[in-house]
Amino acid sequence: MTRDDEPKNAREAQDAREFADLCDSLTAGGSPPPALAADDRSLAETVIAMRAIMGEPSLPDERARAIIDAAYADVARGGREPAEIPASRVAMARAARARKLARAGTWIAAACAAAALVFVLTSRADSGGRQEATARLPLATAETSRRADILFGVIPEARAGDAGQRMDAIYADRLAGYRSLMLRGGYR
Amino acid sequence: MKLPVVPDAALDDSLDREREQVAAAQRGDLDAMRPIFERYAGPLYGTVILPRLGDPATAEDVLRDTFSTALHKIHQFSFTGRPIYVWLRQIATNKVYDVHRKTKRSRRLADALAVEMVPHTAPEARPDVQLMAAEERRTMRARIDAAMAELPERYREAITLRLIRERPRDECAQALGVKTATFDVILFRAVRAFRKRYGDSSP
Repeated sequence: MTRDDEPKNAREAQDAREFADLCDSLTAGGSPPPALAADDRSLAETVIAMRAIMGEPSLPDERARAIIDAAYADVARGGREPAEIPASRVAMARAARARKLARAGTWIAAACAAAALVFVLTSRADSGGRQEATARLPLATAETSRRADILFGVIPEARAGDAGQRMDAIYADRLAGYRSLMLRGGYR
Repeated sequence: MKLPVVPDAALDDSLDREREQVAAAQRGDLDAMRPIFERYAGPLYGTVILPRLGDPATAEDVLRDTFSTALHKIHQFSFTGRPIYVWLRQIATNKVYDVHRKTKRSRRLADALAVEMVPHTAPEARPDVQLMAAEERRTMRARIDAAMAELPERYREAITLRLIRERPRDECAQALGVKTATFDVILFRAVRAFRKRYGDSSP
């Protein structure tokens, strides 16, 4: 042993001992722990890189398949590729956004129509509700407030995710009732 | 990873099959790429990604990103008589460079990798992936040898005994004629010195 081999201070001796423990783990096939100081991590990476080049690191088939599956899942989700998304996917995304806006617009129109109806009914009730109560015609089921169950029955679990389609169906049903009522001249 | 010499006929068959699989993927059947990925996952991980990153978890993430990008961009790939491995290797190297750049772990190493990104195989070279991987490994080993050659003899010996030949610490200490705690200090300094020179080396 030369004087040069001696640790400069207690801190270096401790760092060297910890690094030696880390090397024990790495040479036994372990990975660096998730929490490591930046310098320790850099040293660990140097050791792993060196050993990868001098040795022959292998990726177990099972692990490789899991990574490949994950890559396919990324693509299926449409993520993990930040740059240069194919034009077809951009077009699809735009179309989806347009559909969403159209749907929102429909709901807004329906809400406005409902508000107008309430306003009309309220104002009529104020002006002569007592006489109108006797003049009302009986309403068809489609023109009344009702549960949506009759439209779908029991929803199978496999279709549980199709809530958007069900909302569209309910809206169409309600709109048909409203139009029917209005075309007949409303509540008379 | 054994590196058998692949006969020309087998190589042609392999390339033809690969060409068909890529064509299927470009027609929309992305699952056709799966056998290609299974074939090249090992060489990409062990020869291209892990040696340049040194972190197995990050290396696996980069491999996954490499395959994701390949699936996204498969329509851009065109055959030039060489295996798709060359293209995948290029994607992987770009991803590795991005990791180095983002984490700013080693600017010098990142710069060296940028130079490496130029494909090192000539277009007329024999398109054997095993030979390409072997050539790449030889290049990287030469880089390690160059960095090791600059180290003091004791440091070189410590790294070789403990990290390459994987001898136990006390045995390494005995070989260097020091106590185990002292050997730990020598190894610690040796790896730090190696890291500095390895990062400085040109590929």
